[in-house]
Amino acid sequence: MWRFSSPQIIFGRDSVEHVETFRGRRCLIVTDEVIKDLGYVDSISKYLENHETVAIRADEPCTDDALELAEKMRYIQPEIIIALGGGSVIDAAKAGRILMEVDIPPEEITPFTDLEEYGFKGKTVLVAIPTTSGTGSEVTWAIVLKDEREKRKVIMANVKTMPEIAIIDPFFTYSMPENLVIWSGFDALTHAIEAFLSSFSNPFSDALASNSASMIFSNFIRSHRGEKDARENMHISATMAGMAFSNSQVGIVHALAHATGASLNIPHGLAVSAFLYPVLEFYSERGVKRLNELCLKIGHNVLQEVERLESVFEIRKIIDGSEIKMHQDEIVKKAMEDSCIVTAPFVPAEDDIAEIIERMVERCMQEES
Amino acid sequence: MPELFSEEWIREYIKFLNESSEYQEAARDWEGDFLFVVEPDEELERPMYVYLDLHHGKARNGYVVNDPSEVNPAFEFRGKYSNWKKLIYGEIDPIKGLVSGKFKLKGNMAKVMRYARAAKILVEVAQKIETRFPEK
Repeated sequence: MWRFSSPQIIFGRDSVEHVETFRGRRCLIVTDEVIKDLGYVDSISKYLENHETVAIRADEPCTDDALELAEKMRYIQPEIIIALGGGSVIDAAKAGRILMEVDIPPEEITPFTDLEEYGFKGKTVLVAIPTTSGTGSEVTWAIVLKDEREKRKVIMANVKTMPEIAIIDPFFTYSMPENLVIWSGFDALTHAIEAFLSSFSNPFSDALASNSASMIFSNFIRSHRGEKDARENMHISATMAGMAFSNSQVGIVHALAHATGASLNIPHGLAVSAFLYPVLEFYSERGVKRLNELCLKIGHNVLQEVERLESVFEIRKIIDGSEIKMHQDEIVKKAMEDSCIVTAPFVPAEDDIAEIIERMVERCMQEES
Repeated sequence: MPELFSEEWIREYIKFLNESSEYQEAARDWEGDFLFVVEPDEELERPMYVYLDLHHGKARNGYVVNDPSEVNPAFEFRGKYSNWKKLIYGEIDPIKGLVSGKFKLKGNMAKVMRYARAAKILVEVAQKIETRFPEK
């Protein structure tokens, strides 16, 4: 027995107009300072009468930020929470919505926690409007926040955290900076591939994962060039990949990216882009059959395509391999403690993780020389 | 062939677990004891309880419990007998079993999330034991 969960999805150009249906209800817009400065909040608030805005810090929010946001939500008592931003904003809003009703440490939001037992009633409607095309947070029940004390990423997940509505309007992605287009694109691609390879994969997630991988391979470079139709396709692909992995989970690439991101403050999208090829190469050598199945299904050699994108976007030149090498033991330990590790095609040992890191570092160093 | 959750079965389980280098690696820092609860259903008349003390990659102690109020474990893992059988036969993934509500876990969930690999190995070790299942 397994299940497939998804929010209602409103998508396409001008889909943001859907917020007009919330007119008259008490709304809280959760965003960050950068999005606010870009004027995107106005594109939402103009449809609303009764609303307040809370802007969280623009870099990766931590568990304390989620608690602070929950406190504000308790005070404002919104009927509808509109999370407008990248994955971090949406994740913070997802956590805040739970913590405003339930007095538990954020880390206790796990897939096994019965939030209703703690008194969660789902008093608010959560609407997620992503402004980047990568995390898929708008359609998942996962939350990633930083634990500043332990310098690790806390992966929280519970089906109750999933937004009720996701609005996928490409308008917000047209002005994404170049780096964000690349890193978020790799994040989406990794979600699609890892969802397909996951030990929890299923026919529903497979359909979304393979389709989104195929669309990303066809649109990524054109989207980077700024072609609007490609950027719209990437936006939809990222949400599809999010739906796929939310229902089948991710694997080693994400475990390593969470660990590296927490230890060295490397942006998540950059970390996944660096680890995707070495992990797939490792799977290929270990005879992971699902990788061949994915290639056959989408008509692309996945490994070659990933290497091509890695090369086009010069990923290996950006990563400081020596710094990762220096923190290898710490990264291995954190990756092995990451819950994503158990949904990989096979559960790796510490030596396997160390070997993948060494491969990645070697590739970066070859690029440097 | 030992019967599920009998003293003999637990002895064998502890032996296998303490021989597992994989478990020792995955649960190197783990501290926490468990009460495993088998809830009766159409195939089982009375509940079964097993206590297991897991510490730093080893099982230190384990025994059948008649009255669950006699122990005060950090964690409790419970499910219906038919689901336990499926778990031991490898028909249910332990994590999926928890997410889908076939099993319930009490205790520090955040801690368990960091030892998901160890949890999987705990089940894999149980699957290695040739087990006789009690019948009604």
